[in-house]
Amino acid sequence: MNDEELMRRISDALDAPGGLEDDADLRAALEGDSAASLYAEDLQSIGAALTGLADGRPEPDWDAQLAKLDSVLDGDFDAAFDALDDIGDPTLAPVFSDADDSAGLNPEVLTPELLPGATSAVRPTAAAGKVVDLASARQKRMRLFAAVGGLAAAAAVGLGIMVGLDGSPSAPMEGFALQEEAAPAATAPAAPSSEAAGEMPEAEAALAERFAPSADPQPPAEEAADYLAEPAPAAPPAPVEMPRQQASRFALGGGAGSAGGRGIVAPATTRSAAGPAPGNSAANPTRAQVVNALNTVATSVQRCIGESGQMARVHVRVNGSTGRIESATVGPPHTGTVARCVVRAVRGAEMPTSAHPSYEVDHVYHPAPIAGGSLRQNSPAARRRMRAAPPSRESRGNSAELLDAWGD
Amino acid sequence: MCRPLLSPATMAPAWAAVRVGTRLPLLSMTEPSEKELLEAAQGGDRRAFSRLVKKHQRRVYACAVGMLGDGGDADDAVQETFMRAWRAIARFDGRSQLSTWLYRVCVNVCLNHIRKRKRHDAADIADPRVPEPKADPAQGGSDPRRALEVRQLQGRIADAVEGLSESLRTTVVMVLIDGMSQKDVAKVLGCSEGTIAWRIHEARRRLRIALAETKDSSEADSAGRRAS
Repeated sequence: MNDEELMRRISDALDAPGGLEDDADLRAALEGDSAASLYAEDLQSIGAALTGLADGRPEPDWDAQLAKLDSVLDGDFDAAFDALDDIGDPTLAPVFSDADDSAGLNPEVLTPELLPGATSAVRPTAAAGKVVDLASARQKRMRLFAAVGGLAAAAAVGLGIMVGLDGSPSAPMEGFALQEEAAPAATAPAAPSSEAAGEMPEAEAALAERFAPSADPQPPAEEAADYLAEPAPAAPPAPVEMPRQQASRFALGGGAGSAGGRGIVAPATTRSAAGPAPGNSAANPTRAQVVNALNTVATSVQRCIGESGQMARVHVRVNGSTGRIESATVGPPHTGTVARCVVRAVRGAEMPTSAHPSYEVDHVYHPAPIAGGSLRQNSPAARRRMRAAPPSRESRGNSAELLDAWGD
Repeated sequence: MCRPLLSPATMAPAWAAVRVGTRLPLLSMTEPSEKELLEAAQGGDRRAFSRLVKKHQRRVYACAVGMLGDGGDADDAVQETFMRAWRAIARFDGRSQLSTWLYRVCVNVCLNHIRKRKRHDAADIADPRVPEPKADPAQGGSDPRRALEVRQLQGRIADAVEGLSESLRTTVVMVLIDGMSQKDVAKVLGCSEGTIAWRIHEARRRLRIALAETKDSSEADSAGRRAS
C-alpha cells in the first residue's frame, strides 16, 4: 500500500461506523509506521474539533426567525423575491466554481467560465489540477537537448517524443494524455491536485517529508515535471504515465517536490500510483484505441465548433470498467453553447475499458477542413496511428445510446 | 417559475379549517405528517409551509452557518432559502427527502453569498461557528487555559474550513460538521458517494496542512515576542 492509498484508507476508516478500531489491517499497518500513525491521529483530532464546532454552536431565536419569514411571505412576497439575486434554479445540484469539483464524478458540464484559473494559455484541466502540461515540459526538455547534445539529439527528440506537439507551443501532444487513476476505490474519483500547483507550503513539505519514504528523496520540482511529462521507458506505446517508483516519491502531503508551476498541477499529492502504470497491463487501452475512440465523434464535435474555426481542447474522464465518459471539460476559447455542444458530442464516444477504475484523457479536435482548404485534423503521427488501428465498428456505433444514458 | 397561489383562504391553519382544496385531515387531533404538510404547502397553504420551516430550520441554519461562518449572513441565507423554497415548492416532486431538497437550495444560496462577499476575516473569538465554552472537562471548561486552547483550535479549524475550495468546504460542512451521511450529501450535491469520499479525504489532508501552517506561524509569532 503506498502512501496515497494509506491516506485514503485512513480517511475511509474514519468515516466507517467502527472507525479505525474496526480495521485491523489498517491498525497493523499504522503500528509499523509512525508517520502514518501520526497522520491518523491528526485526522482524528481534526474530526473531533470539527464535530465540536457543531456541538456548542449558538442558535438564533427560532421563533423570531420564523416570524420574520412569515412577515415576508405574508407581505409583498413578489417584491421581496425579486430583490434576491438571480441564482438560477436553486433546486438543481450546485455547481462549484472551484477546480476541485472537476475531480469528482459530477456530470455537470464544466465550461471554462466555471474554472477561474482557466485562460487561453492554460488548459482547463490544468486549472482543475489534473493534467500535466506536456507542451511546456517538452519545451524545456527540448531546450536542454539543444544545449547539450546539439542537432542530432534534437532531431531524435523531434522524431521521437515531439511528434505530438503539432508545431504549437501551447498544443498538447496531439491533445492527448492518459493519466493514472489515483484513488484505489472503484467508485472513487481521481484525486486532483493541491490547490496551487506551483506553491508548496513549507509546512506541507515538512509534513510530507515526515511521512514520505526517506530512502527515496523527493526530486526537484522541475525534475518532477519532467518525469511526469515523459512516457515511462518501460512502456513506449503508453501515453504519459508515472512510474511507480516516482509515484511513491510524490506520495503524501504533496511531497516536497511537487512545486512545479509551468502547468504542472501538483501531481505528487494525489496522483500517485494506485497500481501498475497504464500500458503495463494488457487490460489497459493503447493510445491508439483511446484516440480512435475519441475520433469517432470528431465529426459531431466539428459541427459544434464549425463556425468558430478554433480547435476544441477537451479533457475527459472515463470510467475504466465501463468505458463510459464520466465527465468532459472543454477548454478555452469555447464557452457556453458551443462548449456544451462539444461536451455532449464527446460524451457520445465509447471509450475502451481499462484495468484502472478510471482514466483521463486530453484530446484536441481541430475544425473541419474548409472546402478546398488545407486545415488538417491530425498530425502525421496521429494519422499513422489511425492507419495502424482504425476505429472498430463497435467503437463507432453507440453514441446515441450513450447520450440516452446520460439523459442529454 | 411558478409559485403557490396565495389567497386569504390559505392563511388559516389547514388542519383546523374547512376550506376548499385542503388535503389535510380536517380537525385532526394529531400532528400532520410531513407529507401532509408538504401537500398542503404545495397547494398554497402558507401555514403548512411554516410548519415545515419550523421542522427544518435548525438543520438549514446549521448548513448555512457552517458554510458562511457569519451569523448574520447565515440568518439571511436561511431566510432566503425558505423564500426560494416557497417559490419552488410546487415543483418539488417528492423523489428525494424534503430535507435533501432544502439543503440543496441552502447550498446554492450560500454559494451565492460566498461568491458575493469578500473573503471573510479570519475566524475569531466571536465566530458563531466556534461554540461557547462549556463546563465540560472534555471541552476544557474546568481549566481556563485548556478552554482557551480548545477555542483557539476550533477557531483555527473554522478558519481552515473557510479556506477550502467551495466543493470541499461544502462537503466538509455537511459531512464532518453537520454529521450527514455521505450518501445523503451525495444526493444533495448531485454527485457520487465516491466523489464525496474523495472530497472528505482531500479536505482532511488540506485541513491538516492548514492547521500545521497556522500553528507554525503562531509559534513563530510567540517566539518572536519572547525574543523581543
